Amino acid sequence: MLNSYEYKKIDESYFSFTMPNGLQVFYIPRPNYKKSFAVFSTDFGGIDFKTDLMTLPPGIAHFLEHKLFENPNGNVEDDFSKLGISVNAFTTHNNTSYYISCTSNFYEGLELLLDFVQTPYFTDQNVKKEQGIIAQEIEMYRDDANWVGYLNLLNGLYPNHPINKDIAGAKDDILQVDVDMLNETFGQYYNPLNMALFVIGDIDIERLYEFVAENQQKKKFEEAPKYQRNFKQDEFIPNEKKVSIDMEISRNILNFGFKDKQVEEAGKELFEKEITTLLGLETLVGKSSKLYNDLYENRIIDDSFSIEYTTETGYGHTIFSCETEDPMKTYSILKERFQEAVNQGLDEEDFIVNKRKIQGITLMELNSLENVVLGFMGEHFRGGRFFDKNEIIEKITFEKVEKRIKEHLDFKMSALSVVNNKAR
Amino acid sequence: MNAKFEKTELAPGVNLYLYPTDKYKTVSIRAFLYTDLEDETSKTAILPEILKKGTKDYPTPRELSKELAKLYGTRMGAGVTKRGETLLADFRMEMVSPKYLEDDSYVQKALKIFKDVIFDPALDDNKFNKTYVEIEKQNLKNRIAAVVNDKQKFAFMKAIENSCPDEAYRISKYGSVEELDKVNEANLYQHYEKIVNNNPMDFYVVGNFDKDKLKPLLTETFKINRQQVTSIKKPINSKAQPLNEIVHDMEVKQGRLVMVMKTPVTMNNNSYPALLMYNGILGGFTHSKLFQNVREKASLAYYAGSNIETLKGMVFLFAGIDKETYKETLDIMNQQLEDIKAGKISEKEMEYTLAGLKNSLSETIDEVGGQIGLQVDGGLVGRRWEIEELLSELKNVKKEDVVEVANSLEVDTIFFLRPKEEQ
Repeated sequence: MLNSYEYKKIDESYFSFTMPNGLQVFYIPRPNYKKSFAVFSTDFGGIDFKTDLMTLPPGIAHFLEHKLFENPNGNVEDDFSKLGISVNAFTTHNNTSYYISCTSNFYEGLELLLDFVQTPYFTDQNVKKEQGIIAQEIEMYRDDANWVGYLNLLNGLYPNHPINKDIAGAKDDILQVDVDMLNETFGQYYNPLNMALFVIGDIDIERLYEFVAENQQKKKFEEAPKYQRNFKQDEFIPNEKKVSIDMEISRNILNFGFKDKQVEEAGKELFEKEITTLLGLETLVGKSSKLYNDLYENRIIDDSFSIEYTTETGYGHTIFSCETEDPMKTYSILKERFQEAVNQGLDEEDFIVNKRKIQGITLMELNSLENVVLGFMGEHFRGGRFFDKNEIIEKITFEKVEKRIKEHLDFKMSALSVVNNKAR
Repeated sequence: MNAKFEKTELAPGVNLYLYPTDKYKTVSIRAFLYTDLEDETSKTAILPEILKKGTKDYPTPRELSKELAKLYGTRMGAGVTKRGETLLADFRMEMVSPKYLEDDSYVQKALKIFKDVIFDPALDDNKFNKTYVEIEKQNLKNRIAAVVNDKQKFAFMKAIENSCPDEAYRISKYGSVEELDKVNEANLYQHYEKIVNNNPMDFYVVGNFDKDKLKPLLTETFKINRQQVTSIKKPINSKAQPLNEIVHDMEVKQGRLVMVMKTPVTMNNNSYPALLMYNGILGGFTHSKLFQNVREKASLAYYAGSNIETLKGMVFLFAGIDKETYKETLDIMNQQLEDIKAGKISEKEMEYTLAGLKNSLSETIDEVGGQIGLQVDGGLVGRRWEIEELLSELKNVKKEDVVEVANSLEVDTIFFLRPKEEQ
């Protein structure tokens, strides 16, 4: 059954179909493009090492991502190289995705992609080899002060939620990984019912359908997965909990974040919450706000200042980050100024301007095939539809945004993380 | 010249390149002001930061960013890019294509802002705003110091400083803290007047627009009154120094190894496609010798590869490794270099590399930035390669050509950022 959806206003459309084995496929047309992307994803990520039924070492999803690239002949990257196709993968807190980008040989590449992700090959020896490689990857990130500061903040915000662990795990965690664990998680989470394929480019939809159908028919899978993701909310109230560490860097890094109190939303509601929050943050302290410009001109913040809001069902947080000479002093000024601005309420004119800005930027971001296909992927697993974004923005009112900001930026729900530059 | 870009000379040394295409939902504009890297580097570096703060009509950052937000979130950015011995002040604007909006008057408004940012900045008494200059000086000083935060970049920077001691290329694109200390709102404005009135400039416009409508508007907006053009130095083909092995201790978890090699082959050379093949075989891909031997066979690294500085004829080898495996990694790397020189290149390596290069070059065809980048680099070295031309030349590269490139390369620097002993 082939379904098609059209979004006339933004000149976008997509098609979807479901295979008999449960695998969902989405295709977004990009006529006249040389490049095409296929992303094969599972709803399994860094947070999924702990379920009601089992506990595995943190980093298991990422380990599995690495290991699926291996086949009895060696590394599958070789087969892609032969076709001149680049292949890569990444693991987020919630998902694992494998993707190819190519300008020719699309179906050969797609077949390899579907096959290597769905055909595990784990041996004691190749697991051991991967431990060495992943250990180096972990070390590399451990030298990245921004990443360390971010992880420490998540630890402060969520002491009881698996999001507080590094997606790749720690060196000790990955040494525990063995073939059985990989087989167990593969069987559970790489079930077609838990996966989806996303394609963008200049592709014939009928042929795509037949191709995927034929490929999937050849494979057998276990019955539906039995583990459920742990959606339980972390009830901990961080109340400005502080985590700090010393590293050899040029300046101190301050991160502070606010944890969402309500995290049950899914689908369109979750998408709406995300956009409302982003619009609110932009209005409060974006580049065209009074607050941002005051802070910048008075040299409390500089161009290292950044804002990020992330949400999924089960968690959600805003993180402010900046480099500073005196993190605690900067924090106390920012706290005071934020509270003041939130109490006073947002500027309605700024809100209108920012709404227009976000509408324009949403359109501009449709230029990038990568952005579109990955955005579409993320939204699919959250239960929403990526192309609804413009319509959602249009309906957001000033009152909603103001209410959301007042409720969200509550310092009782905040934690902070400082990376101190150790004297060299 | 790439057939896609239509060139118009607006004034001496000022060119406009147009490329209309309905692939995108936007119109992108980029302007490049070319300067010699060594000509008061820090002043050139700070300029875009000051210019994007305000124009005569919108003199504060807040007014300017509010106005851009009103123009459907039109994005504007500016900064500096180092290419060889050239420092480019680089201005960018991206707006929604008028195709998606009923009223297209914002296009003209946005173009006017873009022009004013470069040519009609906010001024106080014929000087830049003192506060902004002080803030941005500090910002750049912080950025210079911040190189230590990205350990990989830091290792590259140190390797380059040692490898090119007598070339301007060793200089950071932000210049130095000492230089920044001397910048003030008056001498910065003088430098600005000098380069904006005399140095070569290119404007690139790519995207979903009606050429007949936009071209007259662009020509009118960017018509600049100037008589003469300062010429810019061409990139220097770097020569190998006597071999220098440097170890730098730092408090890091992972060691970073960078090896620098030099070759007479640059983008301005018929053997350029062979150099691309060489780099692909050595370390550009996952099938390449470095990834295969350092990571896959020896399990020593998460990343191991190579890249080229195409304007200067430099090849960099790199890997992130444990301290204890430094010698072992170096031996493996050297073995790969020797193997290529001796012609130990498999059919498979040739074939896969060609396929990989073909794919990455073809991808460039879909990308605004990639297309423009190739044009700009080509303009600097004096030879513009079309993607189609490169693709067909790559097919003709033989194993002997790769071996010839390999034998033209000399290692001159080995830099190792070494984790300190734990206390």
